[in-house]
Amino acid sequence: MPAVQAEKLLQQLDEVWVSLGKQQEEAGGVLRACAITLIAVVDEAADIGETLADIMHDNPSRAIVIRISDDGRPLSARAFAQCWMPFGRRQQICCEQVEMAASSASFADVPSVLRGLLAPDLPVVLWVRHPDALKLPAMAAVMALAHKVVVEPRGYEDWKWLMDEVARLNRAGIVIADLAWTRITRWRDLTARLFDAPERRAQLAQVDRLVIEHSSPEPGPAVRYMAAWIANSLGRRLDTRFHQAGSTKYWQIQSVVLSGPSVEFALRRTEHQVVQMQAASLESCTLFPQLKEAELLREELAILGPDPVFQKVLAAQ
Amino acid sequence: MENPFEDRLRFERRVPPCAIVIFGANGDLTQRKLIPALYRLAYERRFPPGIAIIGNSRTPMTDDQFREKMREAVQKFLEDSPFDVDLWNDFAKGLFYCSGDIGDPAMYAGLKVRIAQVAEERGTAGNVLFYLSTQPSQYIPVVQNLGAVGLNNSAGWTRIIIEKPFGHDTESSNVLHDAVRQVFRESQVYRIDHYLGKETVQNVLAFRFGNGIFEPLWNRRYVSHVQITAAESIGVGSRGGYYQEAGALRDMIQNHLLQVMATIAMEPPAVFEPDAVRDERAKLLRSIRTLKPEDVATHAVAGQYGAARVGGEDALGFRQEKGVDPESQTNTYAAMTFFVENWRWAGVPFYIRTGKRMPKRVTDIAIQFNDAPHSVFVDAPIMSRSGRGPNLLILRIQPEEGISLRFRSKQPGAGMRLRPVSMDFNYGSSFGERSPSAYETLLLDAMAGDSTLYTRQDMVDASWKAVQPVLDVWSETKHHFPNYDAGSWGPQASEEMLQRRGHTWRVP
Ligand SMILES: NC(=O)c1ccc[n+]([C@@H]2O[C@H](COP(=O)([O-])OP(=O)(O)OC[C@H]3O[C@@H](n4cnc5c(N)ncnc54)[C@H](OP(=O)(O)O)[C@@H]3O)[C@@H](O)[C@H]2O)c1
Repeated sequence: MPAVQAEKLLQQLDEVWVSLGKQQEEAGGVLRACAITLIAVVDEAADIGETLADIMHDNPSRAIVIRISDDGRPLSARAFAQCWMPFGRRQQICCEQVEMAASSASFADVPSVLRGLLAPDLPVVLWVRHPDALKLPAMAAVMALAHKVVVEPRGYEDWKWLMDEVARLNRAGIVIADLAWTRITRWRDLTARLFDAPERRAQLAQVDRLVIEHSSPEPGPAVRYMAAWIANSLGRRLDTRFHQAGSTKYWQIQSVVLSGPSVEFALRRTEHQVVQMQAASLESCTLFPQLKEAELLREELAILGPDPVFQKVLAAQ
Repeated sequence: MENPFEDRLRFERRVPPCAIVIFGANGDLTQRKLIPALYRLAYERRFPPGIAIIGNSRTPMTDDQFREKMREAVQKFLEDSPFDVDLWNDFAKGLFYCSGDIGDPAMYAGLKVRIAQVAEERGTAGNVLFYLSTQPSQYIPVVQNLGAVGLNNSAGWTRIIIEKPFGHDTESSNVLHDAVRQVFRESQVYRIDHYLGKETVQNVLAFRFGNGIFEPLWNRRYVSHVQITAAESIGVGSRGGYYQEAGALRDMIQNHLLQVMATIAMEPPAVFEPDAVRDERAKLLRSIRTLKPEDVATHAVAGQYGAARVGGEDALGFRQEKGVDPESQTNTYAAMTFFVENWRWAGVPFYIRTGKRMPKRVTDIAIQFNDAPHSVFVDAPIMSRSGRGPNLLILRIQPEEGISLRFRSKQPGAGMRLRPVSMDFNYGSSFGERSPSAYETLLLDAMAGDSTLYTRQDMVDASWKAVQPVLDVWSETKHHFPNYDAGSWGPQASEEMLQRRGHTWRVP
């Protein structure tokens, strides 16, 4: 008899619901909501409580959090519920959560338990926040359960390997998302906006140079994706330069400048989380508030199918 | 050439730059709804650079004074998003003001020059969106004057948004339409019905046509009747004067609630495109049975609230409200029974009610399905008010948007006792993202040239025709008002209207 059984966990979840329902009977009970199964693979000490709670608001999920440690511990698991009271309502909304702890070795036991734990008939998203886990042999079996895999390269030293791995998984037909790509959506969106006006679009043919400034010693994945996307969209290579400008805890794009002999189109981060858009007489600013992890995930959870633009960028790597 | 950087999957739909000209810029609607919605769209990065807003009203103001006034309005009325000074300063650069009386033809020559200057300065490519946020009596002169100086056409597109009411009866609606038609093509005219901009009303379409399981039940075979309720807990407040002329039937049923009914009952369009959707809505409205004068008494109920104690306080009756005639015959409550004459709905009553000073603010649509054809639980006590099974599907529009299914279930324990239970889906909690306000959605749609959520003249006309017999009979009737207490669910006669068909109003 395996130590961790999906059926037992499901039973525990049911018990949680019954007791929550009893506690909240006066207030109209609790609402059990579930739209997806979200599997999060994180390192042992990761603090993702707030992110999960945030996502639950628009994507009520059965969250399965798998914490990976380096010790040789056997697989263990427990089930509980996360509840919150939406503003102005009497009824609590609760989502169920299963928390598992595994070591690199006992991770091999995870796929068989997961198979019984997925919420029936609903999409499954695998969020790999601890990219080393992608190197575990059992990961392929976990990925096979998911409709979409989301990876997080932020703070990961071996990000070059990870970028290659993402491209490889894409080639293997897995629906893959990279939060570094998600982080540049608004930069891309502003770039597109620059060229909404037909007269500026007409000048695009003159553009032959791209300069991206970033705040890390090396141009990270976001910078590379941005450059690849611009080249892909234009259908030609530009003279491309990356420069470091300032330094922040995590890499960040500071500016994107497209230019040619007599044209310049620029997006520049100024202070106050403001990005300035400049081109000839045009000058306009946009807010780029700090993005939370939950907001990035929310964007990915809203797209459960393939992302053709990103796939093209990956294919060109 | 298309924008090579477009990514429809990730980017929000963008609109082309344009000049928005607001008539009545010093008014309540502009400050409370329009400018906050426009600022919010800028905040959400939904606007192109170069958008310009030109306000007009009589009060003399400089551009800067107008900007200051609008800043105060945004700070006061902006809901659930922060006010950012940098963004506001950028947004305010696109705000301009042009004072003058809209009855004065000379004003339009000045306005035309101003629009051209702004177009040059901001790069709006000649696109102009006029917004009539003035009193309805001024719609016709504005439109005529715009036509006289050639502002009905420009180098880009020209569109005009008209606020309800579109006339006060069939005839005046046609007069307005004729005047508008002389100057603008129908495709340029955007008649706003902010109800259609509400997320849940749009969701009705997603619910009906995005799922295969409900549509087969959506007809006379399975639906017993439909109840549409739009209740407000407040009275008329400071709008007494305006309301007195309109009344509940005109203010709510003729426009908003008939549009909601059309959305519920229309046939599926072949494609989700503006004219296909509007064609189906219009067809449905045209299939509403026109009442004969002698049927009005049994198919329509008028009400007016009287003074009562509500929640430990004395609430005024309508006739005691400020600006209201003490003998007023205005209906603050109206309920009607409609029938749709087509194969899908023949014989199914659509009950619509709306009122002020009801016990709570709620708008919902209830689809009452037929009872099981044969009850196998003959002896089982049924714990519900009507003694019938609930078999109800409820689409809630406000305050909490969502969908509930009410059905019978066995009460746990020995014996077969049935009780109604509810299965709820809340948009708010399932998709916690902030929904855009109706005005944000609609303004953006007009800029993008998407008229799906706007009403067309044939729809306006059909819905006036549906209520005209009642307006005619009521205008000749001396009502015994007040006939319901403030804080109650309306007059007894309304209950009786349903009882004649063996139905009762739900308590929403
Ligand atoms: N308020 C709402 O929440 C609401 C909701 C739904 C629909 N509506 C509709 O929206 C429209 C506007 O409503 P509202 O409440 O904003 O009206 P309002 O407060 O009366 O505003 C109209 C503004 O127009 C200006 N004005 C009046 N006569 C003028 C003239 N001859 N020339 C130039 N400007 C003139 C006035 O400013 P000056 O004194 O500076 O000229 C006034 O502030 C109406 O059709 C109403 O039925 C309103």
